[in-house]
Amino acid sequence: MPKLRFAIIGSKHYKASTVKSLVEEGKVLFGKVTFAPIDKVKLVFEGNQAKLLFKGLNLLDYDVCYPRLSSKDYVLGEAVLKAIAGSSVYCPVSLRSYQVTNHKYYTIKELSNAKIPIVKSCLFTSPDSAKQIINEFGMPVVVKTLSGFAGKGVILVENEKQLDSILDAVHLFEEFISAQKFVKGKNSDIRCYVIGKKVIAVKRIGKQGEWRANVSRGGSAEEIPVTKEMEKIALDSAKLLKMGICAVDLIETSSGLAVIEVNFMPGPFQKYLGNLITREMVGFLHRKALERARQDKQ
Amino acid sequence: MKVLILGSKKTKSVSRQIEAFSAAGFSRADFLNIYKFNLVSKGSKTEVVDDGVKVLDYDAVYIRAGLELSPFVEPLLDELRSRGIFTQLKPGAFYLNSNEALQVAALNGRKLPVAKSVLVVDPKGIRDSAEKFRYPLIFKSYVSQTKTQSILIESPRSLKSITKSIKMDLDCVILKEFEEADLIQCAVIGAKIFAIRRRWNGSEIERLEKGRPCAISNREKVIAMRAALACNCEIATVKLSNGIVTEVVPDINFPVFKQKIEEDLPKTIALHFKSRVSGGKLRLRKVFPSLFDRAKQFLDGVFNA
Repeated sequence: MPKLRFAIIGSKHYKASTVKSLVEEGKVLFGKVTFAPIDKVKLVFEGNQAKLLFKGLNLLDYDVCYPRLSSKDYVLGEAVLKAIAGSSVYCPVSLRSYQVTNHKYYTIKELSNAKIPIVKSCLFTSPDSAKQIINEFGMPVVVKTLSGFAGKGVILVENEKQLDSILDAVHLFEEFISAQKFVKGKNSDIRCYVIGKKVIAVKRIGKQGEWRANVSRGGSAEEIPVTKEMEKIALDSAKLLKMGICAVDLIETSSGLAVIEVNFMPGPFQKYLGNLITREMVGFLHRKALERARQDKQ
Repeated sequence: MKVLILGSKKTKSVSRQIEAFSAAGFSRADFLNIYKFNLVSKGSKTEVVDDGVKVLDYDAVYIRAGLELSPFVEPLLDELRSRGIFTQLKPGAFYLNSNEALQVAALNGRKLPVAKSVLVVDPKGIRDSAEKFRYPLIFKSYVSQTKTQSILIESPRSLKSITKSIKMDLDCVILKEFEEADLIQCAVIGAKIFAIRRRWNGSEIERLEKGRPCAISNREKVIAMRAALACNCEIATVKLSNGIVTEVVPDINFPVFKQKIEEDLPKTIALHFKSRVSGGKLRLRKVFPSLFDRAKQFLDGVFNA
């Protein structure tokens, strides 16, 4: 078996337990794993060449590179993703998928245009126009700041008075906001991990008194069987956004499942799922690396 | 043919552009404030909800908005394009031009000449990389999209003291070799290029207002045009120094170019829009959007298989 090189580019604020799990699984298949936090890499342009350096190693010479970047890493993160795209290293995500999935409304718009079921959403330029549209949606609505993640920057608005004060605050901080129709029901949703062509479904249940189902906000998670509907929506979403690895969050509506958002850097919920997700991720990346190596030989 | 100018302010140059579009034969040329816009996605479609103006009825939209509006403009560009409405910017243009690190990577990716550069998050990591650089260097630091510093550094000693003095958390530091040469500021409009030379006086580059119109070589013309396209723009400002692309901006400084250049830039822009809108591909896409998308999906499938 050829010796394959695997690098993980981590966010500036990476979660140590996730990295540990990915590295552990990576070592099993690749033998050695390079973990490079984005604040420790250097992107060098000279002549017509790009080099992504970490401790003297050029990560663009690797077989596989898995960038796990959050929206906070975008300044250097976008440049890194562009440089990776111009190299021959396999990467399960792209610059465009990073830009689109970090924009909650843009994701929904793309999916909607491709006829993938979504929760009715909108994007505003000013508080005045926001009020007009939100009133047409009807209360309650979920207002999201575009830069939020892990359930942060997500507000449930139940009446016009609340809406006014939230819009004022958001405007003050020069944040763009999107709004999504609130789907009433249990405080739970379904996260579908897409890893290559495989889908793993997980039910996320919010902690008592919390309307958000995010595990990072104290919720819990359990694996559930994947239905045909889940599989189709999740795979279609990942294919549209050209992502080999992602998580598609779904919610049950009166007309079936609908996408709330797509995650670029999904957490593996180790507390509930152990190494299940990271093992699948690394297994997929290893298969891709082997495919590449075989193609190169031919 | 109808054209809409979308911006945050109706300036004099916008009014002149409206006149130029009318003179070029557009049946309607209007301005709309971008802050009147909303995008709503429901079911399997997206609507551009505006102040009574039916944006999707226009054949072309000329975007004159600031880069700070990229979270709104990017999905809008994507939507306009999918509807077959011509814009001078392709989706991704606002992202590409509001992040200098990404712009450098994009230009380099298209094999365009860019200054030798190193990009990092932690400024301490820059010192050893800079050993092989030729001084002077430009040191730029960013927190989010905001440039917090832009300094010309003459020696390794100055670089060391600057990197030591930074106490705040940065999102990116860009260190570039600086060309001690005149700066050529090009207004690119499709295949037409108009240039102003800004002199390097040994310590700084003169202001654009003091620059003089100049002729540029064919090589420089090709570089300027390719640089604009690499940044997803058909209309842009491209800055060149010693044949190296130093910056691309998805807009033109019309008031200054109007004073310096004999050419009527609004007219050139109007004619460029006219030629692009009259192109068959966009028209076909506008008339048969679903057929166009199905054909595209099929071809994507074939090429991705």
